[in-house]
This record gives sequence, C-alpha cells and structure tokens, in this order.
Amino acid sequence: MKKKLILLHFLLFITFLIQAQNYTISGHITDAKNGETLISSSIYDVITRKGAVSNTYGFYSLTLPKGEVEVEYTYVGFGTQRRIFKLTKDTVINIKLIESIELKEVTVMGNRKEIGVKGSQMSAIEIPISMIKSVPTLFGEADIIKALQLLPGVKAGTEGSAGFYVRGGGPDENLFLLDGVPVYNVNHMGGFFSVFNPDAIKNVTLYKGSFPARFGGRLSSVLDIRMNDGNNKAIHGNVSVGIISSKFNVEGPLFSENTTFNISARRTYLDVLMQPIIKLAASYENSENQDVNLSAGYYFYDMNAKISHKFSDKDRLYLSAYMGDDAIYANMRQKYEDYENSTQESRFKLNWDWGNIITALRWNHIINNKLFMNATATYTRYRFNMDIGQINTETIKNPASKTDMSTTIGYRSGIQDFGPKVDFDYAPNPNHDIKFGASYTHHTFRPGVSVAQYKFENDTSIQKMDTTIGDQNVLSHETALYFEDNINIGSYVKANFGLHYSTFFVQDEFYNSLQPRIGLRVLLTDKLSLKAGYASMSQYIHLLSNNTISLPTDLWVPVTKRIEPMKSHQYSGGIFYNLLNIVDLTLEGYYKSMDNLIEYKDGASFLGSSTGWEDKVSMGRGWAYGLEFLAQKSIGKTTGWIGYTWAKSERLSDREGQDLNNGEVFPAKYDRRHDLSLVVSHKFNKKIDVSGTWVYSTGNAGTLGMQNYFAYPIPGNDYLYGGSIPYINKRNNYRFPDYHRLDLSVNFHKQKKYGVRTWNISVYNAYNQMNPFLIYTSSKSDHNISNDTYTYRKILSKLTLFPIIPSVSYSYKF
Amino acid sequence: MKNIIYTVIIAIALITVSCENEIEFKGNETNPLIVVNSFCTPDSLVKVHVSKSKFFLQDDSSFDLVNNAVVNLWINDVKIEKLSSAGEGFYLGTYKPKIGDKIKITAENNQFSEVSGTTEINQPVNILSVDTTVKILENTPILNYGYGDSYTSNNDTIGYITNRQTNFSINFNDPINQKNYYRLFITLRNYYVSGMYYDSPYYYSSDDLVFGNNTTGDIFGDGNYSYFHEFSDELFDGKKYSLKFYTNQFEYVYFKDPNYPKSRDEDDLKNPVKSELIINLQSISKSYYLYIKSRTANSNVIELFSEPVQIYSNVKGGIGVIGSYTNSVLKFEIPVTNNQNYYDNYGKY
Repeated sequence: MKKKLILLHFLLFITFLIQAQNYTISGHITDAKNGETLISSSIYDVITRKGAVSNTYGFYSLTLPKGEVEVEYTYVGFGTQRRIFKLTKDTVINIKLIESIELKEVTVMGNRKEIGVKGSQMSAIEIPISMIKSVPTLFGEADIIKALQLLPGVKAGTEGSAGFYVRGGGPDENLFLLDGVPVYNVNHMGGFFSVFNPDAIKNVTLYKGSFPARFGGRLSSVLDIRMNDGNNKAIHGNVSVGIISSKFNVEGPLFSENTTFNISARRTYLDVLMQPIIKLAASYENSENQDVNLSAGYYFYDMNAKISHKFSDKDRLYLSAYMGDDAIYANMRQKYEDYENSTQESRFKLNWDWGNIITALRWNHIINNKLFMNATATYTRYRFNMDIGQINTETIKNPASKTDMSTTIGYRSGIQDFGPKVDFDYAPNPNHDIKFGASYTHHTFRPGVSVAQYKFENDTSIQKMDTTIGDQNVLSHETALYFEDNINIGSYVKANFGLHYSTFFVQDEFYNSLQPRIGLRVLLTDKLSLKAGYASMSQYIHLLSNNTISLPTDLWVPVTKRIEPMKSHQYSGGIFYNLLNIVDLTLEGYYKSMDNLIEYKDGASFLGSSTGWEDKVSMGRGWAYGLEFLAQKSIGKTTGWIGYTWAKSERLSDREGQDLNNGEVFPAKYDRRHDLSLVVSHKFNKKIDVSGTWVYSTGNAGTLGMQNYFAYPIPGNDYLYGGSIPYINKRNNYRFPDYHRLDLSVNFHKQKKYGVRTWNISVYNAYNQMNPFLIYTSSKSDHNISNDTYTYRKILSKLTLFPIIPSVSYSYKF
Repeated sequence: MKNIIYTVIIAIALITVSCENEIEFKGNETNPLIVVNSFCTPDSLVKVHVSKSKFFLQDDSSFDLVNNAVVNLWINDVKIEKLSSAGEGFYLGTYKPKIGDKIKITAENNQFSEVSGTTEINQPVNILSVDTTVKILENTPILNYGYGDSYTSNNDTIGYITNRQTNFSINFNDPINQKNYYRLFITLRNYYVSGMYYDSPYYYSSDDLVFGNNTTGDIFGDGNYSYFHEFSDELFDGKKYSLKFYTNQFEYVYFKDPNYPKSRDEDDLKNPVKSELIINLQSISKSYYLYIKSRTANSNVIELFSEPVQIYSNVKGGIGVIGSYTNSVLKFEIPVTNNQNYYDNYGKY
C-alpha cells in the first residue's frame, strides 16, 4: 500500500513537470479594514476545482493551467471576492477582503481549510480571539489558556490553574509558541492567569496530535499563537479597567501604510491600592523616637509589541516582543533614635520577580511566486530572581563611631534560548503544498544558584563573606530539520507526509531522533470525511515541578546521560461532518504510547534546586487513549460548542532501582475519565450579548493512605522511632469528588462619539460549587456541652479556592 | 471613590476566597490489615511484632496489638518453631539465625488469614582495612559578649573552638553477582569514672558518591550529614571499594576564667574518662534497605510539595517488613571532650 502511494505521488509529480503550460497566481490576502494578513484564507479556482490556502503571513500561491480561470477568495466572516480572467502569465494578485456585515458578529471555529472537513490535518483546533474574549472567566480576565481548557482532549490542572494536560500528557509537554518563539512559563499569579493578553493576539491554533512536521520538541501539544501586526489604515485601540488589572492596546500605521505597530500592556494594581493601608498599618508602630516606613505588594504586568514594515510586495520585516513579570516586593525602613547618644537605622528589602522576555525578528521574502521564505532570529528567556537584603546602621555621637552590617541573599534560576530559523513554503502545483526548513537553538539552563553576602564594618575593622551555592549553567545545542508535503491524491484523498529530524547535544551527550508524521483524509461526501494520523515526537527538556502547586521556582532541565529523551507515538482517527452548514461535528479517537517519561519518586520535591534531580525521578512508560467529541456551531446569533472527552492515562515505572508503585501500573496524575464542557454565546442585539460555560469532569486522582499503622522502629535509629505511618496501596489511588462549575457573563455595549464602550459583568462559579483544590486530613473538635469537654476526631477536608466570584469591567474601544 | 469601591470588592473577594470544608469520604473503606515486622540478625533470637492497622480517619495515636496470633518461623523452607507471645504484640522464638539462613515468618489469627514475609541473612561486610587521617581545621575565637552598655564594648576573647576532622576510609570487598546493601552508622561511647558508659548516635558527613545526592537541598540550604546512611553496591558491584567519610569533633576550649572557677571544676567532673567511636558497617537485606529508604523519605515529606511516599512492605497479604542485618564493628578512640560533635555549615569542606 505504502509503495503504491509513493508511486502515485511520483507519477503526479512527473505529470506536473511535463505540463509546461502552467502559470502561478500569488499574492497576499489581507483584511481591507486594517491591513492585517488573513491566515488560512481559501483560494479556489472554480473551473479546475483546484485550491490553496494562505499561510501564516497571508501569502498564497496557486499554479493553474493556462486559460480561463475563475478564482474565489474566501475567509469566513468576510465577503467572497472573485477574479475571472485569462491566465497567460505568472500573476500577482493581492486581495483585500471586506468584513461581511451580515456575518460580522459571527465567531468561527475550525474554519481553516486544513483543519475542517476537507483538510488533511486532524486533532487541531483554531479558536478566534473574539470567542476567547467572550468566554466568561475568573475576575473577568479573558484568557487564552482558560478558553482552550474547555476543548475536548485538554484538561485543566487543579482548580483555577492555567495547567494544561493534553491527551494524557504532562504539563511540561506542551510547546507554547508566541510568534514562533517558545514561551517557558505561561503563568501569572501561580497559574490563575496566563501570560497571553488576548488584546495582542490575532490567531490561536492548538495541535493535540497528528503534528505537522514543522513542529517538534514536545510530546503532547503545540499551541501556535500569533500576535496582531497592527492596523495600517488608522490608529485604533481600546482601554479596559477590571477588578484585577487594567490594560490598553493601541495599533496603527507608523508614518505610512507600509509600517504598522501594535502595542498592548496590562498591569494588576492591587498592590497600588493596598499601599495606603499598608503604610497606615506600619505607622501604628511609630512613636516619638521611632519612625517606621513600609511598602509591600504583589503585581504582574505584561507588554506585547510588534512592528512590521513592508519594503515591497516581496519583502516584509517584523519585530515582535513580549515582556512580562510577576513581582513580590517589600521595603521597610525603621529608624530608632536614642535621645542621648545613638541612632539605629535598619532597612529591609525583599524583591522576588519572575517572567519571560521573548523577541522575534522575522523576514518574509517571496523568492518567486511559488517559493516563500521566512527567516527568523529568536530569543526567549525565563528567569526567577529572589533578593533579600538587610542593612543595619548604628551611629554613636560621643565618642563618634559608626557600625554597618549588611546581609544579602540572592537566588537565580531560569532558561535562555536563542537561535536562527528558516522556513520555506513551496507550492509547485495545486496538488502539492510543501513546507521545509531548519532551526538551531542554543539553550542555557540556569539551575538554582544561591548567593549570600555578609559585610560588617566599623571604624576599626571590616569583615566580609561571600558564598555561592549551586550548579553551573548547562549549555546545549538543539537543531531541527523538517520537510512536509500536503498532497492531493485525486479528488477524495488528501495526505500530509512529513519528517522531522532533531538533534540535541548536551554535556558530551548526543541524542537524535527521526520522527515521521502522516496525516490522511478521505472525503466521502462534500460534508463528510474520515481522517487518520500518526505522529512520533521527542522531547529533550523537562520541567522539575512540585506535587500540587506550580511555582515560579520550577526548573527546566535538559536530558542527561542517565535521563534520556522522552518519546511518544500517537495514532489518531476521526470522523468529520458538517451538518447543514451550521454545526461541525467531530469524533476523534487516539492512542498514545510514551517512553522515558519521568515520574517523581516517592517523597521527591523540587524547591528551586536541581541538585541531584536525576536521583529524584524515575524513568518509565505511559499510555493514554481516549475518545473526543466536539459539536460546534459557528454561525448565527447563538454560537458555541459542546465538547466531551472519555480518556484514560496510565503510567508504569518498573526499571531496576527506579520502580514506583511496586513496579505496577498506576493512573497518571491527571487521569480523568469524563470531561464535558458546554460553551454558549448569544447575541440579543447590538447592545446586549450573553455567554455561559458549564464544565463537568471526573475528580482528579490523588494519593491517600487509606490505613495507618504502627511505625516499627528501625534498630539504632531514634529519629524514626514509633508513631504512625500511612499505608498507600497504590499511587493515585483516591478520586477527588467530581468537579463542576457554571460561569456566566453579560456585555452591555453602547456606541459613543469616538467608539464603543462595554460594561462586562461576569460571575465565576455561579452556583457556588465548592470544588476541591486540595484534599487532606485534619482534625476537628466536637464540644460536649453537658460536661464541657472537647473530643477530637480526624476528618477529611477540602480546600476550595474559588467560590462564587462576581466581577465587573469597563472597556472602551476606539 | 472608584478606588474605594475596588478596594472593598477586592477585600470581599479575598475574604471569601479559599474556604475549608469537611467532606465525606467516598470510597471503599478498607478493612484493617495485619502488620508484621521483624528484623533478624545472626546469633540473636527472632523477635516478631504483630499489630493491626487502622482506617486513616480513626485516631492513630495508638494501635491495637495482636497477642493471639499464630506466628511461625521457617528456616530454609522448613518450619522450625511456633513463636510464643511475649505480650505487647511481640513474639519470641528460641532459634538464633545463622548467616545464609532463608527466613520466612508467617502470621495469622481468627481475624486475619495467613500472611508471610521472607528475608535472608547476609554475610557480614568483608572489611580489608581502615585508614584514618586527622586534621585540625580551624581555631575560632569565642568572644565574650559582656553585659555592658553596648555589645561593642567590653568584648574579649575567652577561648576558642577547634574542629578536629577525622577522615575515614574503610576498604572492603563487595560480593560478585549479587545486589548488596549497606548501612553505616557511628555511635559515640563515653566511659565515665563510675565505670558506666553512655552511647549516643554520632554525626558524620560524606561526599562519597555511593550516598548519592540524598540531600534535601533547596533554596534554603543543603547538606549531606546524618547519623545514618544507606547505600547499595550499584557503583562498585563485585569490586573492592574504599568508603570515605569524615567526622567533625568540635571542642570548646576556654581560657582560665577567674570569675567562674567553680563551674569549670564541676564540668570537669562530668567529663568522660574515655571516648570511642563505634563504627558499624552493616550488610543489610534489600527489604531492610527499602524500608529505611522509604521511612526516611516519608519523614522528609513536605506536605503539598512532595510526592507522597509508599512505605516499603514485603509482607504478602498484610503490611510490614521482614528484614535482616549483619554487623561489622570497628572501634576508634578519640580524645575526650566536654562536647558532642555537631554539624554546622562550616563543618562541610
């Protein structure tokens, strides 16, 4: 069968070569209103029934036989444009599509040609930003990650967190790409918010399986996020004020239509609002001879900026950047004055901050009308810094002397990557859409390093101490090469063959992997197709995290001689059906096997130190399989989707000396049998729209010792003498209670002189379901009134983080 | 005004956020299991302890002991004897195991059907030689912080602290073609004028690779010091190995202080007349090794941050561990001091 396919492919290629009478139509497709390039618009010749799709930069290329052509340019939500002419030479047609008035408020999912019924890509979903913004969320902060968690196959971690578990994979197995650059920490505020500000984002595509060959480096998913280029017609923007944060976004042309910019920023301001209260609290400590000053707080901010310049129709340059930080700070000054003789002053300073910087410089170049090049230089960095310092000064007037003592403790960790990347799109004829490219990444892993300094100085002596504890930086080199061809084989079969080859060099260790990728579509009718896919993936880095909570001190570490790269093989198959052009139905099944997965050994914890991490993990295998159903309605006043997942994910660590759970199979931490989500938006009129989501899922798995027993003393060891120890029959043996939650939101819009203002009122967890964040044992006292005695008993407790939380925000779009 | 509204809303939100509630346990309330423990060593009577586990929501300040069990001792697949109850959940036999014995212990009573666990008595460690070197690493002055107006005045050096570091190197042969487990611990034995002696566990440190990096190193510090270390022959299977570790003996030496002559004399009376280190390099069974490892890991668990620990058990049908150890003891005399050794951050080099 495989041989036949290759032969067929070869024949088609020969046919193309001998057909000399072909010409190419190429160009860019943009939004007429703001000049934004339209990703994945469809270009279709009605006469030959051949088509193409615009790439990430809006470029398309369609090669057709000489003669009459009738080319249709379509993009959902926009009016179709048609060009009828005689094709006698290679032609450049740049198209500006106009947003359709009737379909203006339509939100669409899965409209992309390669994702929908007719494309060869499966296990991928695209959500328009407008839909993401309409999903009600915690504190009214629209959030890309939170919206994606509502899709089948994607599970959230613990309550409220931005954790992301795709098809039974771990939280470090997702590749988050912002304008093609990996983002290592996607969390703000410990995961309650993600770093992606929807105001700056144009397009979001999530791949859960059947990965195109151009992606690699993670096992479970790829989230491809593209930032807005900026309006090239006029300055526009919006400002919004919410409970947690405020943000603004401005975009427009710079000097001319050829240069555009887009800037978005947001910051939380709880710390600013709390400052007077903190100052007031500190001032209670003040007295006649004592003066206390205190400021402290927590905030996060992020900024996205992008500038693009069009040198010509063939060359375009983009510079995009993201910068964001979370910070906890405290400054205290205490001054004490002795009436007689001395003054003592102490200053205390605490600064913790962590965040990403991401930069991409990109050059789009059209080499010829069939070959498009995209060269990028990328830089990404995540770092965590902690500094604590104290200075004490004592000044004595008589006899005059001064003593200074200072102590500072610092901690640094993080990861930094940079490297070049080149990608080519080659469309030799309508039956082939070829992509190939290469990349190199230089990684610098910075494991936790602590620095302590001490200095004592008085009039007669100076003492100093300077210590550094921690591991050296680890450097590594990662390269990747890929090739993929999206092929039409006759009218019914479409295939995507790809190969991804990657290498990783770290500390004298060299790893490489050749990963085949295959996607196949058979079109049964115009509305019904069957798809199948296979993808092999490799991953060379791990995130050392903690059991329950994601912390900014979580460390990225590379593979080593002992800890080999993780690998996965995923097989998927599905049915895609478009019902009456209204509802898209998808049913997918997958089976994924994973090898060299790391699981934390019993008792392991990683509080900001990677020292000896290889001893704290064990390598094992895993399996995940499941069924996913998605019904989505994209057109009309009521839009939304229903997603359901049935899934199972298991782990096994049975290697000599590394066995967990007595070498037996156990459920993965985020193994959940059922996940259901319902997302509905309804637009009553121009002034009011509402939306709601309801989620239900089986509880998370946790480990609970069901029995306690006498801790028999170890001879000679007083420290482990007696007491009670838990008996855990199996890892992840306990199911948390089921999780369910309803979120609602309503928007009130009003046209004002310069724009539209919107009031948003939303309610998170509308019926106040006390979902567990943590489950643990504690004790409770019962009061016996008759004899006024208390008896204590052990109880199982749950901690709920978010009961019902209403919020309100105001925004103005101009 | 707006700021005030927001502050109030946020304050309310923060107060309502995170609530603790009791929940009902939903799941199979597992029945109690029989718990059987025994650590056997050559030339000592076999002693077995039997108790009952409790459902985790019950009070676990004490456990029910099982005194009516039938506990049998099997050696090399032959039943040797039924152990007799000695009360408090203990069962004693008359047989003293020998090196190479395969021991099986079974236990049952009217509530629990038979459970069993096995172990084998290992050869003692074949110690070839011991090398030691002694270094005085530091002389730190002891300052007297007087009771004057300010600590900057009236301070003076009243003595010094010495750190006497002894580096040990124990050379031994590891048996070929079998997995071996070891445990090293040191006891300080102080002899007094009365003829009595007193034993206490003694800290030692090691950078030896066999101990792995079993530190709990984190932002807040690290260290590889302990009273006990367990290790396997993973790195030296079937070879001669030289195990390295060191002890730090800190001594406070005070200059003669005319102000406190009496108290010094009293201290002198309490000082031991002889001190020795008893170094025990045990050869232990795999079950014993895994039990200790898991117990240690469990005692180091930081709630919420650490993976929960499954305590090792090799009792089929029940819980507990049947393990064995064989001692190899070395004695090493050290100077008498009025201080125990202790570890501090300067002790590690």
